[in-house]
Amino acid sequence: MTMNRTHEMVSRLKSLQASTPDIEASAVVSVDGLIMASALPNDVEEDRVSAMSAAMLSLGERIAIELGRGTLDQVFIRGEHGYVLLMAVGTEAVLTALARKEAKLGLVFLDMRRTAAELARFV
Amino acid sequence: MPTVKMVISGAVNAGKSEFIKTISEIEVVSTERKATDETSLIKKETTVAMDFGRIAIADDLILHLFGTPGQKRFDFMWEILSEGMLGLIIMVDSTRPDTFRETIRIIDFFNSYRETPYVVAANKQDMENAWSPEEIRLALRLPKAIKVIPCTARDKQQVKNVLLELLYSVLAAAEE
Repeated sequence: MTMNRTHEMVSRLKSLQASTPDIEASAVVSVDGLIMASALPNDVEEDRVSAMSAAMLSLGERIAIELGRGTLDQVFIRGEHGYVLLMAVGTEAVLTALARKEAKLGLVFLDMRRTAAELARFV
Repeated sequence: MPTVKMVISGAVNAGKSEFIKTISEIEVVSTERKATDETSLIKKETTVAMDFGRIAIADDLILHLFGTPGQKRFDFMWEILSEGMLGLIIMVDSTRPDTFRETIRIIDFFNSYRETPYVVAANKQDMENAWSPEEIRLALRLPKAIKVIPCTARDKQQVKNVLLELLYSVLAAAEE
């Protein structure tokens, strides 16, 4: 991947976080679990987040189909301290976002979807 | 009917997914995705979460088979999938000695996590350049008590044989 593409993706992630401050961190990951671009805090281990995102998305896709819910739209995880949200970027990547627990999810999803559509051009 | 959980692990491209597909009586739950790392040099797709298959052994025992991803970055799945397992199969690509070191690391990972009876399946024995089970035992520095079973993951009978050998090892360990 060229630096330029990575750079473009990182700038999309940064503008996602700027326009939706409820999103604290975000990353684009290949479907086999490798980091493509990220705007994550320093204490987050990129490699693990990437692999986990890919595993989670694949299970989500599989279970949605298996249980007759059709194509997966998003994976939504709520923890005590906030959310982990996953969305496919085209067919070969995943957008992962961490949101704080007060986040307005409607807005977060809307912005994530827009960003995913933009990112799909670079993957 | 009692069900027993078995985990199939091993390095990338050892034949874990194929092993489960060969023997499962249900459609395998698989999570293969396009490979973009060095794995893509040897195969198009790779498991990113797990494989799940099921087979009834005799009339009164059901095996649940969970296959892991091979890459180290998915080691959290190794941990998750090994929860509650009774036995472990370590698959080895007998034609790729360059993966033996990684195989040792995977065995160590599972052993340090919890002591579970395991066997080593020396896969791809139908290939000309395959190392013999004895050579693989030496290369992996396996203790005498650990069985190294030759197999070809495409062959149902041989896969079944590996599962039976593992069951015997599990039973023997239970009697100790």
